[in-house]
Order: sequence, then structure tokens, then C-alpha cells
Amino acid sequence: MNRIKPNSIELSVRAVFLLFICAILICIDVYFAPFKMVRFYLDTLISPLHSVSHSPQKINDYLYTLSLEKSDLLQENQQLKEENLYIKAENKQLQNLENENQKLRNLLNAPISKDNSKKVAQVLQINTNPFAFQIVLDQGESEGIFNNQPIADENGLLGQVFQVALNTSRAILICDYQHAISVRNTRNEMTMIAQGNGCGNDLILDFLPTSADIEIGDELVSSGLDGIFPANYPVATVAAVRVDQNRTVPLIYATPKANIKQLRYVLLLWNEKFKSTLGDDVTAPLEETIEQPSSNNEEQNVL
Amino acid sequence: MFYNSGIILFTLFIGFFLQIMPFPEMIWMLKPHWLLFILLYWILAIPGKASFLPAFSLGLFYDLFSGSFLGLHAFIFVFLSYIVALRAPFIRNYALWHQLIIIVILSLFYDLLLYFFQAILLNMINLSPLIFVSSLSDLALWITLTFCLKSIRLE
Repeated sequence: MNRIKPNSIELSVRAVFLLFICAILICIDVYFAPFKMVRFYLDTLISPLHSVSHSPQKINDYLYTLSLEKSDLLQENQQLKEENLYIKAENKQLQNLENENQKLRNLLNAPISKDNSKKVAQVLQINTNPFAFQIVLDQGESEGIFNNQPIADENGLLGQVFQVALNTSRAILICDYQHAISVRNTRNEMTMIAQGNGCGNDLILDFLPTSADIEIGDELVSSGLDGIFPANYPVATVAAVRVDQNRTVPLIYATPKANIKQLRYVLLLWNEKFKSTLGDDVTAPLEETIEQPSSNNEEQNVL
Repeated sequence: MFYNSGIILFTLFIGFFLQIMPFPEMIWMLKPHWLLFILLYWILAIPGKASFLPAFSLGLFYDLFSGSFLGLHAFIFVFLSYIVALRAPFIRNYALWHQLIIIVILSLFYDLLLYFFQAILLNMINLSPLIFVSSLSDLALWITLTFCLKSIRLE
């Protein structure tokens, strides 16, 4: 025992010292906002690790492409060409409608919704940690990704970027416990907040009175009131409405539209107007929406 | 006794590599704590020379990789390493089944600590009992570790 004792004291001193450093680091990371800059460089430093962890997927994809037959590819190509034709034709029609809509909005003096540009990003890592539902994308600040940038797939909104490094960025999904999004019911224009409840579960619509007019199957789209997400993007479908006798609020669940289970590629949504003014400041988008009508007036004057 | 620090670093590197590899999403709860138990194994294997610096630095790297708060995993790794290092002379001489009990406790403790930190830092109270399933795969991991690394050690 004599031999172990002094050793254990030395151990304790070293361990407590390191634990102390860890505690300080955690506190700084949580409470000290400027540390985000340091985090940016650290994240950039370790971003090669993401491509390492993505490599099995890449190898799998490569093997899959090797196994494909030429005739299958030609057939698929033909199919995609036809699909593309249909979509292009539909797109033309939509553009005409959009132009018409903008003209009408101009007449009404209502704010014009700016067109969002989009970009495809690859998902490098999906966090399987049960507490956080995050994904890592293969594009970062050098490609113009910014904080709070919305991401979506072809079916609906997925979430938003919350940590940007030089070549990668980290996004939080709408089903994360920490995430909430302002949505609008398309049937009766009622706005509410859809809160994440873990990606195995549906979103929760909270803070509603028992008299709220909600039915199963109602389509929820983003309201755009949060100043982060573009308006009128599909988010979820109401899946269950339960009235709990013991609680004063109803329990309403909505299934996300986006295919959260199988994420390979996502769309990054751009709004140039936001990008120029937003940055890290959370209050900026609110001011932006308030100022919108006036800026439109100016545009009209110019026109 | 002489231990080649190159081999230790190599196995730790592999542990980190396995830790950051994607795990099938259907069975995420079965993902063993590769890195932690390789760390703990070496702390047990090298008496009196245990260093917490690998645990600390690898924890920091893992924090950066997984996007958790910086220092979170480092804290847990160092803390568990410390507990094991304190009791190392005893644990090393236990029978394997006895060690396995300790491994399960450590694995549960790891998950609980992680949950505890998330709960106080993010104000979250959702606790999924599934996170404790990983202690079972940790058992299998520890058994393979003791046999594989022992042969490396003896060489």
C-alpha cells in the first residue's frame, strides 16, 4: 500500500487539473460567444476527419457504380430525360404564374417574395447521438454558407445550419429537441410553432388552446415569420390530435415531410437579401421583415 | 517493464478511427465506446505510468468531430480514466467476469454522465433508456480487447 499511496496523490493532482481545464473549456464554449471564432478554426482544422468518416459511404457508392450495367444506365438516362422534359415544361408554367403573382402583388403594394437560389450539398456525417440530431455538410464558408441558413430536401424543410467551418458546416434538423420552427396551417392560415421531439418521433405543436382548429391531415408550411426559413415551404403533416384530460393543452403531432431517415443530399436555400445583412445576429432578420415594405416602395419608385 | 508507446498510440488511433466511423442507424444504440475502452485498457495495462493526456486530447478531438461542447467528452474520458487508474492495481488482478461487471458499470456511467451534461447544459429531460444498451456491446468489445491486446502486449 505504501508504494501506491504517493502515486495516487500524483494521479489525483493530474486528473483534477485536466478536469478543471475541461470544465473551463465547457463553460467558455457554452457561455462565451466570441469563442465561436476559435471554434470556427478548430472545426476547420478537423474537417478532414469528416471526409475520413465519409469514406466507407464513398467506397460503397463507387462499388455500386462499378456494378451497374450499361443497358440499365441507358434506360435510366432515357427515363430521366423524359422526367426532365416534364419538369421543365411545368417550370415554365410556374414561372409565368410567378410573374403574374408578382405583378398582382405590386398592384396591392404587398411585399414581393424574392426568389431563393439553391445549391446541392452532400451529407458527410449523420449524428447518431440520441440527444442531438445534426448533420455535417460538405460545404462551408468558402462556398458562401452562413449561420442560420435553411436546408431542405425535395419534400420539405430539413433544418438550419448552426456552425460553419471553412469547408464543412453543421446543421440541426427540425426534429432535434433544441429546434422549433414557425409554421402555418394551409387550411385556415393559423400560425403555430412546431417543436422537434427527437427524430424517431413526430414534431409537437405546442402552445395551442384546446379549441384550436386542427385536423389530422392538415398541411403545415413554414410561415416565414421567424425570418430564417423561407415562407410557404412544406414542413409537416398533422398526424395525431389528442386531448389530454389532465392537461389544458392538446397534444398535436405532425410528421415531417422531409425524408429525415435517409439523408444523402440536401438543398441549401439562399436568400441573397438575408445573406448580406444577417450574419450571426439573431435580431437582424426581424428588423429585415419589418423594413420589407419600405424597401419595396423604393424598388417601385426605381421601376 | 517496457511498453512500446508506438503500439499504444497506434491502437488509440485505431480506436478513434472506429469511433468516428458511421454506425448503421438502425442499431445506433449498439455502438460500443471504442475509444473509451481502448484508453481504459492501456491505463489498466500500464501500472503506475497512466497518463491522462491521451484521454484529454482524444476527447477534445472527438468533441470537435461530434459537434458537442468542447471539453465534454474530454471531461468524461479523463474522469473515467482517473477512476480506473486509482483502482488499477486491483482491477487488473480480477477475473474476467469480475472485470466485465466493472466495464458495464463504467459504460453506464459514461452514458449517464453524457446525459447529465446534456441535461444541465441544454435543459433537456428526455432520457431514452436505449442509450444503456451500448453497455452490452461494450462487454463484447472488452472481451475482444483483452484477448487481442494481450497478445500484442506479450510480444
